[in-house]
Amino acid sequence: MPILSIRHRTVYAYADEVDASVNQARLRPRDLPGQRLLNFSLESDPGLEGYEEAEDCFGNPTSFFLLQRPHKTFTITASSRVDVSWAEADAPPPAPAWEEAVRRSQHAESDEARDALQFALESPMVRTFPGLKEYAVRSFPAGRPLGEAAAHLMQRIHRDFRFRPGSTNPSTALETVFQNRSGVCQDFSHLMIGGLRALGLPARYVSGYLETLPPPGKPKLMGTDASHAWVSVYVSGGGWVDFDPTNEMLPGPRHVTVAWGRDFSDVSPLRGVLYGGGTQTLKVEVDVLRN
Amino acid sequence: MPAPESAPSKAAPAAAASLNTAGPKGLVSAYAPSPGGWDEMRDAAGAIRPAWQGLADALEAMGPETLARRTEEVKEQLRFNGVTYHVYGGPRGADRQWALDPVPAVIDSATWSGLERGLIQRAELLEAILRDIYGPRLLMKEGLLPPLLLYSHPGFQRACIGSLDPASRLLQVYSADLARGRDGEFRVVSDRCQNPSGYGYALENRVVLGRALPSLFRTLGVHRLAPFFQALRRGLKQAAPPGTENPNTVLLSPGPENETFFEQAYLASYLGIPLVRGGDLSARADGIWLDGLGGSRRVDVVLRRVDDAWCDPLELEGASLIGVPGMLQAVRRRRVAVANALGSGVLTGSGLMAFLPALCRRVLGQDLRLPSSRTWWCGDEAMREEAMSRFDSMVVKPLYQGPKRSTWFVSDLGREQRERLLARIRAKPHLYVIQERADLSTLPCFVQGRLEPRPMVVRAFLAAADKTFEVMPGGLTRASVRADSAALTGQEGGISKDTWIIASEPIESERPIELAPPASRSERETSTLPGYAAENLFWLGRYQERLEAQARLWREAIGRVSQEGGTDGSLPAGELRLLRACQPGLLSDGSGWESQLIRSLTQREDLGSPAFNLASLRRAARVVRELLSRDAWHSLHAWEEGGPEADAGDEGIGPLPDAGSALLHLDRLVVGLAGFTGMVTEGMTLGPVQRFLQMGRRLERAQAICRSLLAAFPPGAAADRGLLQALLATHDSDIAYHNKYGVDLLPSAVADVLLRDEGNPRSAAAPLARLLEDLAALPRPVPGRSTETEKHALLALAALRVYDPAAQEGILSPGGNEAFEHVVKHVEASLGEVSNRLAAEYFRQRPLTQTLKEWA
Repeated sequence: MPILSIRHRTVYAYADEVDASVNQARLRPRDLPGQRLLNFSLESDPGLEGYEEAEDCFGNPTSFFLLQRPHKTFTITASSRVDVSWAEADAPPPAPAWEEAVRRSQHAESDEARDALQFALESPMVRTFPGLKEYAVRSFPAGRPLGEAAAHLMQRIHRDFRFRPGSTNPSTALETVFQNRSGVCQDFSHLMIGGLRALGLPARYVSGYLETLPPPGKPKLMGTDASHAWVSVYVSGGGWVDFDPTNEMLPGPRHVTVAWGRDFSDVSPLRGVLYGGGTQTLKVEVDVLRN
Repeated sequence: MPAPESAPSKAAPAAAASLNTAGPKGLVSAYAPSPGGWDEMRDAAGAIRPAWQGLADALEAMGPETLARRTEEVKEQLRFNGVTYHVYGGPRGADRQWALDPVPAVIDSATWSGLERGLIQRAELLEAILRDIYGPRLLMKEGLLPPLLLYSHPGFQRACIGSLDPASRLLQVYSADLARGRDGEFRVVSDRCQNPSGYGYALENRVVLGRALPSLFRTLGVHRLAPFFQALRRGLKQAAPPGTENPNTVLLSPGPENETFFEQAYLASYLGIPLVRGGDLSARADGIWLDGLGGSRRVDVVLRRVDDAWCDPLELEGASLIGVPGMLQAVRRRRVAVANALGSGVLTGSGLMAFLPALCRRVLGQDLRLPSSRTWWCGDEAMREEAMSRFDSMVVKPLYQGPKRSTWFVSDLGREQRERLLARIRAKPHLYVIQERADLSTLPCFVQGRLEPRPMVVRAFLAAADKTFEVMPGGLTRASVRADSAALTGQEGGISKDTWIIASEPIESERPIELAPPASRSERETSTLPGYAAENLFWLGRYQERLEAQARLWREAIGRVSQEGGTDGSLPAGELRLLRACQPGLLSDGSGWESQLIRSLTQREDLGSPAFNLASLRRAARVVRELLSRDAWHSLHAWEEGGPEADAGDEGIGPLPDAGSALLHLDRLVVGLAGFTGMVTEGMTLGPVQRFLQMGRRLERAQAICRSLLAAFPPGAAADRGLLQALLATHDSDIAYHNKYGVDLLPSAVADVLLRDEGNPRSAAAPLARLLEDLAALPRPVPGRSTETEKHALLALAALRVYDPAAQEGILSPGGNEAFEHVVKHVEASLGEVSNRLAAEYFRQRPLTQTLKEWA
């Protein structure tokens, strides 16, 4: 059984003192058929107060807490151990022709399908724009099976867009990403989701971790991993199937799912409201180790 | 009718007599609604409907002159009460005075009880739907509520899923706009579910009209509104989390810029609960707390006037600065109850109306009693096609009415607009709703001396209590300002009316009108005074004092011009310096003092002018209105009687024709402000509210004296007798002076009386000593430790006490001014520090919130 240990450390530094803050974290990996959470802990400086857990509307585990002591830095570390037993996937699942999938999703007849409908609409960070549908539809010729078409779209995004950390931020419009042809995993996922939705297909955003492998013969360096994001497509009758446009791969045992939602705004690892603080700087370190 | 208001007027005012009256016919007999529609007062045959008969007789007997006078009284009373409605985008965010027509809307009690049953059923239905939407969503699974209708509704707050208490009420207040069609049936044109407004205005309408037409209420047996508000109070108490004995309830307001802020303050005062803003509340591990002067206390129930999304920047709209971060989680864990339930905005908007009949049968097992306007949701293919086949007679609305409130009347659209609208619907059908164009019944409105038929909508209100809903017997009726217009929202103006439900059989006569709101609150309520309220009280006191001294100074200066008759009629240089110390830039453009005075009294843009100070005073007063007694509030508006503001409401200032009327206005200002002081000192319990007001006045008084003395005697200037006299008069100390020093005006004696004579309440030292008492009586930020504010006030007072002007040679002579100036400047600096420290120590609010960065 491959077990992945994940350490996700976030350090905030503030220009001015923060009196207090109110926070919500989505850092605890989900329990899923192919993924079992063995343990999870959150450590923080200053210390967490009023800690509570709840499930959000998508079933993601969330943590609420307060920081009530004045502070100028805030360090929070989430540590998880996850037993991942997903099979390595090499081909998208057989599925109906994509037009049929659209038709079925519009006439949702199961709870799952009705629930999926909300992922076929625009969402706060995935708004459509001129050219998006046209871009996506080139992977969707008439009659092509949904899985194959989605994989094709994933490959094209991987090929057409450059991975450039720092080239975007959360306020960058999807259209700008599209025009600049560069971004990070969040952007590629949003783009692929937007394209699928423009065609009427439910698609959701998955946040999580990816175990990176060192070059052959080299030791794995600490702090080189990152939190990751990919896409899940609803295949009516066949559940949700994941695609990773950043790495052009079908997620398998190296991917750990933390949360899903309509887009990043639904699953942000850490949200908070600060009293004071001024300018903020933020550093994130993620390590995914196999043992 | 022998009622006083129906008696023919013996002395009709000249203005009323010249009105274009209804000619030989009476008011009612001349009223002719257009045929074909439903008129509320006259039936199709032209006869007066029975419920209206009593009112119609009274109006007919009254005649246009008396009714015009009643209209003026109503208007005056509303102005006096400061009833306003904030208009977004108006001139400088104008406060529009609330308009109330003296002719009420009458609904017979049989019709009304049918409406009541329908409204209660509707409220119960909507509440059940809301519970399901954020709970099991069975209605969606059963196909009664289309998923797309829900998922594409911007008011659907996903974060609220699972947050609703299955056992408690979700809609503490529900409101519906009702329109009556030409068939005589009432239909709901819109449901208001998240934080309905208007019930405070309805109450104010009743109070004001009850004063204008008191005997009519008695003789006609108009139902009282009080049971609704009693139910609201009970319901809020019952809403508290389990185990709460004496729940603390607050009214959460978006702030004074909100369109219905007047109503929020009015309701808070009427219900006896504090008016707070998001910044006054904060989440702690055990609940939501109200922080303020005198400590913090836990809040159990929040009656909110903030929209869903803006209530919690942590889980809802992150950009909100008017919410309480962590509120939703506190709701989820039942640490606080929020009314109405967070997320209830999803019920607003017309889309749901298309599905209510079927939902009612499923949820309540009953037919929907009170229908909505006929509605088709375009997200449903069959519905869309049906509506499209009659498209041209329809109204199109977005699924959710945002602040823009766009509505398209298809028949009014040009060809191109029509095509564009169709294209938009085709592209995203689920975002549009089509409705039958509601035809509105008409009712008489008093317009230009006659009764005119105008379209109307009645807003009804329900309060949840005791496991049911109490319907307000009445409501807020709004009539269109134009005969043909269907635009009836408050934002676009309109005439409001009281709504009378007339009992079929007489009710036992209790008090005919509602009681005025209680004047003060219990000590416990005021013991937590939010910092912003303390600050605004303080500034209210300061502006009041500042304005008073300024008005006296102008009077003195003008008096001296006319008595001493300067050859060119210009103001004496000393007085001019004093005036400029209050209002920089005064008389620097070479115009005469008369025009400058008129300008200063009317131009609120001129920094430091009386008009500017008055506007600032009013702004501060409005923010803390619910903390002032009703009489104190009234006295703030009393001097406007006939003054330049009288006709222009809170915003504009009318013309002042000449210097004479300006002087008259100055007199009224001085007397009016003194009246306010009296109301505050005599009519309000001594507590933090009064103390902060008084501290503002006291600090301002001491500062004004320093300012005056420095301006009067710059180095090199000599003190002439006239200027000394003006100084004493401006600071209301002439009698104190003459009692102590007789008639001779000596500079050192004037300095003594103004600066350090603690026996003179108008000196600088006396109010400082009182201010120290105020500070000592207030709860200290750190219990047991004196504050920096106190320290600096003591320093200022000590400096005054040790200074002896008599011992200083040549004081207030060209050579001796510098030493004097040094002392006064030192005192002035200390007083400035008092103000700064007060802000830091007592008015301190939590720093502004920001959201955590989410992306490296």
